[in-house]
Amino acid sequence: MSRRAGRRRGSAFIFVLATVVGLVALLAGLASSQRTDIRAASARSQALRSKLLIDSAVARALAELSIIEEGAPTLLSDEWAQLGTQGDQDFVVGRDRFRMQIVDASSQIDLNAAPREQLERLPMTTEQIDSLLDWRTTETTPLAEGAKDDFYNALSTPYNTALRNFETLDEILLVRGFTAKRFYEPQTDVQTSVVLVSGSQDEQPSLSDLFLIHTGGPNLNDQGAAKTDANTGNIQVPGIPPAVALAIQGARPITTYSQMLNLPGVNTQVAEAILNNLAPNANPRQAGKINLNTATEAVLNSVPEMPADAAQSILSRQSTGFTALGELTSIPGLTGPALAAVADYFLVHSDTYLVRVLAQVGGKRTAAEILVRVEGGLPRVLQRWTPPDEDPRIRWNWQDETTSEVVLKEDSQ
Amino acid sequence: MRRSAFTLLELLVAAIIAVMVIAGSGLAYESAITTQARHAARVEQQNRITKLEDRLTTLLQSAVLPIENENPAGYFILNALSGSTTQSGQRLVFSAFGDRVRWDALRSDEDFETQNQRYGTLGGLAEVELGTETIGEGTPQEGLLVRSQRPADGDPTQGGEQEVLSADVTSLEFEFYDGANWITEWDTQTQTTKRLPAAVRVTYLLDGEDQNRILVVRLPESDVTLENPLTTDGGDE
Repeated sequence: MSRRAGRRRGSAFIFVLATVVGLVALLAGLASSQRTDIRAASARSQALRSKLLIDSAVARALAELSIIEEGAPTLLSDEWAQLGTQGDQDFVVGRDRFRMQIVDASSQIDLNAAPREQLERLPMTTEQIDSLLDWRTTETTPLAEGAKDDFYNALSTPYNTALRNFETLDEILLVRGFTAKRFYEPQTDVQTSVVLVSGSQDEQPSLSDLFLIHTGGPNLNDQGAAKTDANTGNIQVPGIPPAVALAIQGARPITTYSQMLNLPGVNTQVAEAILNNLAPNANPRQAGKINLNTATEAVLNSVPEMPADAAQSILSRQSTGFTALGELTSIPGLTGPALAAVADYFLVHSDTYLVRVLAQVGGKRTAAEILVRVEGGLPRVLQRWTPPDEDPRIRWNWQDETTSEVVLKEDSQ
Repeated sequence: MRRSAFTLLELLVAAIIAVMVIAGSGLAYESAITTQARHAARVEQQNRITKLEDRLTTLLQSAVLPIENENPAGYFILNALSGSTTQSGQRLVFSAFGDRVRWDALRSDEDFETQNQRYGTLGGLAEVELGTETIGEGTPQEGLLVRSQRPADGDPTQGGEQEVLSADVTSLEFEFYDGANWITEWDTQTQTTKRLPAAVRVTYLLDGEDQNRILVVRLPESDVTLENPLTTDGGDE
């Protein structure tokens, strides 16, 4: 082969090579651009799927809450409480899945209702207690370690004191002394006057585990009918002797059960009749009360003057449940003044629930908490928020792995 | 022996083929580059629109009214500021809730005052306003603007910080579904019981386009339904 022929063939090779390199570069550029687009589309798709999963869980929860029997006491054995087996069940939707749990809001302490005596039993500093009370009360002079406008107006990002009830749970992060870490994680450096949960200091709950908002329920007797307001009319209720009825009328205005239970002539049977049938006000809804049937150990122990043994007895009775407030009198140790001291904290009918949802799309988890109120058999979403931690399984006391699954839709792929 | 060589004809044919291949490749390359650039521009535009609509949806879906009807920090009002409607569009102000607490604050050991300085305010109801007008005396800005203030202070006309959500939006209008019809007014301050619309229809125009775009957002916290429309609520409409 001559040298010139070889050079010609070499030129052709270089030409072909250059063309191929050009085409490959073009394709690589296109592929890179497409990959970025696909990643963005995939991330958006995941976010949308997570949102749809949470919406599905909420719809499922609302359906369950809509069939609660009106007037029936709120029990841990109710179907709503079993839905999702307290977060241990996977609901499978194609390739994705979600876990859920419905919690009675009245199983926790209402941020707007807890009095100082109850707050002092919680892992809170005096500065936090005073500031919390200052935030929600209308007085303009702060408590000793509290804060009003003078303090909040002097902050780098200033604002005014609410001087009214908390509207959202995380509003507490606007209150002096409450940083996110101090609210959402256990305050292990603050000693409590009582042991809230049996166990070590590390096992004590965080403030976010104890508090909720807009809790309460209808003021009903054991027949599911409205209780009689002790402040109006003649009190002709079976079980309440005329002398006690007269004493109640004489003690008006009645604002608490404690007033009625401390009247002369009120024994255990009469106390049961009062708690079952009378109300200390005309409000059809008792806001901020704790449900005897669903309260946690820590919440029961937070009630001022609650004997520890009585709290344990209430916990052990929760499996069968209290059908009326008067059954509180059957708890050993809760008679006379002890009963009068705690009765005003409780109810047995709740109307507000917290729905916890954890959606999983691919490897990404998205959590949501939704507050729902059931009125007249109709559930309504009051608020929804995203928990501070991406994976709240520990805070919600859920197992890492589920124990069962319900396939709502098979994976078609 | 005579050395073999290409004839003139062979060279011409080879040259023509080479020119055709090069020209074809060049044209194909140019076409591919143009198509790619056009596609990238379209994708970029679509991404901007998607991002805008996702953000608008998230903001509108965070609308919430206080459980206590008397709480002045909760509202949902179109054109809260008297005379604020301009040729360029309207402004919608509402109380909002649901933001996640920032993760760095969750891990911070700093005290309350230091965190207020570092992160600003956290928690509670916020006030959000969507519109195309600059509020206050700052440098005028153009586009879809979002004003946010935390905590909501009961004054729906001002306060907080304003930022540009999209500089491409040239006009903006809102309509509200009251359970029966789409209506053009909504003001919780005139309602006996404050209620959110079941859905909001946002009509907006992008710079360089001659047709409006429409986004419909359902408000999950609304109790307005076909069975429970606004008009049955004691004449609130």
